[in-house]
Amino acid sequence: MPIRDGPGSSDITGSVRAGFAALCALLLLAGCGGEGARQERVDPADYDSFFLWAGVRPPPVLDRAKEVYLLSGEVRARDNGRIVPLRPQVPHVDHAALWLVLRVERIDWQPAVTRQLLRELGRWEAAGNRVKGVQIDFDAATLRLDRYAAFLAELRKRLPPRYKLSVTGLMDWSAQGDPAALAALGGTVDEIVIQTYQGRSTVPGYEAYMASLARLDLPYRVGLIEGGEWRPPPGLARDPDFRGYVVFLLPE
Amino acid sequence: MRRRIRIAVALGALGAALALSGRAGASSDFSCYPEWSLDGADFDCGSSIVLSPGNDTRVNLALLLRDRAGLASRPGTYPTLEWDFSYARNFFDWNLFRETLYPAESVPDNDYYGSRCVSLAGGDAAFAAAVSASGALSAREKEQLSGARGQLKPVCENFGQERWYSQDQAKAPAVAPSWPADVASSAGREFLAYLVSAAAFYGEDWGGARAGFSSLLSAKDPWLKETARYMLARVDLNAAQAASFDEWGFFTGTDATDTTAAASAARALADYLKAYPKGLYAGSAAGLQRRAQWLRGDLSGLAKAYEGLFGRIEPGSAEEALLIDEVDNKLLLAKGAEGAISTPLLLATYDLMRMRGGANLDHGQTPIGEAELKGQARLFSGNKPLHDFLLANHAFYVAGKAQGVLALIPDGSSAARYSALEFSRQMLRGQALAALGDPGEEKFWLGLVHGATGIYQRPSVELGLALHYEKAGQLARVFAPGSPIEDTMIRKILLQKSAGADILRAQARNAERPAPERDLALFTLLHKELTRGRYADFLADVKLVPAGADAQSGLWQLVGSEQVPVGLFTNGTWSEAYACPALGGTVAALARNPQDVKGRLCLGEFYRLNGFDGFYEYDPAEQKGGLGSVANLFPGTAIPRGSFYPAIAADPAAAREDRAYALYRAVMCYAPAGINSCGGDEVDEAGRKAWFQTLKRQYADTRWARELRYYW
Repeated sequence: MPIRDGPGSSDITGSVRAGFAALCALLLLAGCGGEGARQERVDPADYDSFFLWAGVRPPPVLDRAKEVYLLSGEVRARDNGRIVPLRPQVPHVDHAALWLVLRVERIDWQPAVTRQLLRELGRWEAAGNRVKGVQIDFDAATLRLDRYAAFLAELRKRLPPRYKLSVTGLMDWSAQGDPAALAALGGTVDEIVIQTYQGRSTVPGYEAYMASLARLDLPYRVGLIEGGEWRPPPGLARDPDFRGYVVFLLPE
Repeated sequence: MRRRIRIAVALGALGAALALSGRAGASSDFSCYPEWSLDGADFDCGSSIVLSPGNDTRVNLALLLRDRAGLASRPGTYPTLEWDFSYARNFFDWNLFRETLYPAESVPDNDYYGSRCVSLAGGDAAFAAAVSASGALSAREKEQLSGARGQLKPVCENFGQERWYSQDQAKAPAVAPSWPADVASSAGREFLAYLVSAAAFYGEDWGGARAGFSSLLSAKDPWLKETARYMLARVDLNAAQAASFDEWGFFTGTDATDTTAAASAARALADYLKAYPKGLYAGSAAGLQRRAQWLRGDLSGLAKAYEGLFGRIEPGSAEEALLIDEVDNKLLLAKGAEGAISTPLLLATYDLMRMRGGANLDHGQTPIGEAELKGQARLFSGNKPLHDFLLANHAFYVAGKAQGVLALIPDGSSAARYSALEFSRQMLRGQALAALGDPGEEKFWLGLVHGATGIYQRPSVELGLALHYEKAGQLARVFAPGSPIEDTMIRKILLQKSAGADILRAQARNAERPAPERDLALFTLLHKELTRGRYADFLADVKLVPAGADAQSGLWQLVGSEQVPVGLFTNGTWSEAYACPALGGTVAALARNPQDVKGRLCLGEFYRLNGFDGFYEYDPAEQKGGLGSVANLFPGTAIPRGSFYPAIAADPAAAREDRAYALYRAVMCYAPAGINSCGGDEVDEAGRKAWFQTLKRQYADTRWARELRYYW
C-alpha cells in the first residue's frame, strides 16, 4: 500500500497501521504487532495453513489447520504419461480445506495425466474432503515461463471451475521473468505460493527477493519452512496482494 | 540463479514413511543444489557414484548390485538435465540415477495407478475371457455377466465415499450395484457371486469380500476357483493395512496393522502358491508374500527373501530397480531392520547409513561403532575389500582418522577400470590424502582419472583434482592446456566463483571449450569489472563480445544456461526517461572519473533496465570447503547502485537535475512495498520519507518531483 502524498498525509501512516492490524487479525500473521515484534523462528503453532510433503508424518498441529496443501503425486521428468502417486491413500479430512498438490518436472503432459488428476480430485471429494483446488509445484526453468503460462491456461480450462488453481513460485520469477509471461500467469492462477527457504532455513537475503515479488501483481502467499528464520520484510503486510503464509512442515 | 531458492530438505527422514508409495523413497520433492565437494558424510539431496554414508541408500545398494555384473566401468550416456541442471555430472538423486542407468519399466496406462483399483481394467479383461470360455453359461447369461462387470467401475470411481469409516457398517455404500436377478444356472450364479465379491473388495467391505470369495473356493469354473483363492489373500492384505492410514492418507506404520489379517494373508498366499505354483497369479503372489511378511513385522524373513531375489534378478534390469525401491522402504528404512540384516550387500548398505551424522539417523538406527563393525568380519567373509571399505569409511567419517583409510586401502590408482566398490575405495583414499595434505595427492588423482571409465566416475576424480588445485593456490592448473579437468560445470563454478581476470580473459577466448562456458567466462569478467569499478579493464575487454551476441536470454541460471547474454554489455537497454549514452560511453566517463555523476546514474540505469537487480551469481558452495569457496582471485567487492543515489543527492557539485533524479531513484528503490531492490545500505522509512519530502520541496519544479507521487 503506497503512502499517498497530499493533504493529511501525516495521518496516512496511521491508517496504514490500522489496516495492517486488521490484516493481522484476519490472517494471524507472524510478525504482527508492529515493527518491534519480530518473529525469529517459524513455529507452526502460530499459523493455520500448512504444506505437507508425502513423507512427513502429519503432526498434531494439523488438527486445527484451516488449509492444508497435501502433496499427492508427481510427474517425472522422464515420463510425461502418468502421475506417480506419493500419498498411499486418499485423505479424509473434515476440518480443513485441502489443496491437491502435484509436483511436476515437465508440463508437456499426455492426456492421461490430466485424466488421472481429475480422477484423483474426484476420489478426494468422494471421500468427503473439502477440496479447494489444485496446486502445481513446477520447477520451471524461467526461459520457459511463457510455456508454463500456456500450460496453466490449458489446465485451468480442463479443471472444473469450482477448483482454484495455485502454483508454487520461485522468488526470482518476479525478478527476471518475462513480464508478458508473468502477466499471462496472473490471468490464469488464483495464487502463487512463494518459497523462501533453502534446506531447513530461510533464504538469506530474502528481502531483496520480496521486493521484486511485490511487483508480480498477483495474489500470493509466502511459504515458510518450519523452524526457519523469518522476519517479515517491512512492507510485506502492506502489500494488498499478500495473502498470508503457508508453513512447510518438516519431518520430526 | 535459482540457487538458494529451494534446496532440498535433508530428505533422509522423508523416505521413512513412504512405505506404500513405492517409488517415492528418499528422493527429492525439491530442487537440489549439492555442495560441490567429495564429502559424503551426510545425507542430502545429491548422491554420487562413490559409495558413501551420505548417498541415498538405494544408490548404494544399486552400485553394489550392479557390481555383480561388472556394470560400473561402462561409459553410459549422461542424462539431459533441465531444471535439475545443478546435479551436472557429479551428482544425482535416485530417480535420476535410475532413469539414467536402468531401463524404463513398462507401465500400462491406468487411471488407478497406485491404488487397489489398479487391477480393475486387467480384471475386466480376464473376467470377460473367463465368461467367454465357460461352456456352462448360456449366451444370455454371458451377456448379462459381461454387462454386470461394468458396475465395478463406479465403485472404484467413488471409492471412499461414505465408506471410509469402514467400521460404520450402518452406512450403505454410496454406489449400490444392482445385479441381474435372473441369472439362474449354477455357473452363472458363481460368476455373479464373484462380481459381488469383487465389488465388496474394491468398495472396502472386507467382510463381504472375504465371505464371497471363500464361497467360490470350490467353484466349478477353474478360473473362478483359482482367482477367488488369490483374491482372498488380497482381501486379507488390504484388511491388514486398512487401519494403518491416518486422515491425511499417511501410512502410520505397521504398528497399527491387523496382524491376524496379515497372518491370514500369509497363509492364503502360501495356499495359493501350493495349489498353483505356476498359476495365473504366481508372480504377484510371491511379491504379496513379501508384503505379508512386512506387515507382520517379519523383517528377517523379508531380508532373506531379498537376498534370494538378488541371486535371481538380472543385474541392471528394470526389475532390479523396482526391487531396490522395495528393499529400501520395506526393509532398510523400517524400524527394527538393524537386527534383521545379516547378508553382505544389505548389511554394507545399512552400515553405511548408520555412519551418517546423528541428525540423519531418522529411521530408528543407532550409530555403528568400530567394534561392532569389526565384529561383522565373519558376515563379510569372502568380501574383505567391502568390509575394509566399511572400516575405512568409519575411520574417515566417524572417527575422523584419515590415516586409517590409507592403512586399509592400498593405492590402486593405476588400474585400467574399476568396479563401483573399488572406485569408491580409491576415491576415499584420495579424500584421505587430501585431508592429510599428503604431497602425493595430485599424482594420485592424475593416475586415477585414466581408469575412471564408468559413467559419473571421471567427473568425481576431476572434482577431487579441482578441489586440490583450488586449495593449493594453483587454480591456473585447472585451466592450463592439457588439464584433465574437462567437466564443464566444475570449470564454470570456478570461473564464476574463484577465477581472477587473467583466467577469465583466457577462457573467454578458449576456442576448445563449449560456447556456454566461454561466454560465462566473458560475462563474469565483464560483470565483475563493471561492478567492482574496474572501468578501464572493462573498456578493453568488452571488445571480446562478438557482434550479434545474445542479449535476450535473461540472467537465469547462467551456470546451467545454454545461452549467456554477453550481448547485454554491447547491445543492452541504455536509458529510459533519464537520457544515457551507450554503456561504453558511460564506462568511459567513469574510467576518467569513477565519481562521475552522470556515469554513476547511467550505470545504475544499465543495471536496472537489464535485470541486474536481484541478479546473483550462482553460488553452489556456500558451505566451507566446497568447490569455488576457497579462492577468490578477482579483487574488490561489488558496488551496488543503491549506494549511488544518496551520495549524488547529497553532492552539492552535482547538477540540480541529477540530484533530483538521484532522489527519485532512491525512493523508487523501495517501490512498491518498502523493500530495497537496489542493494546497498538499508534506509528506514523515515529516511525514505525525507528523500521524498526533499524532492518535493527543494526540487518541486523538476520532472522527477512531479512524477513521483508516493514513497514506500
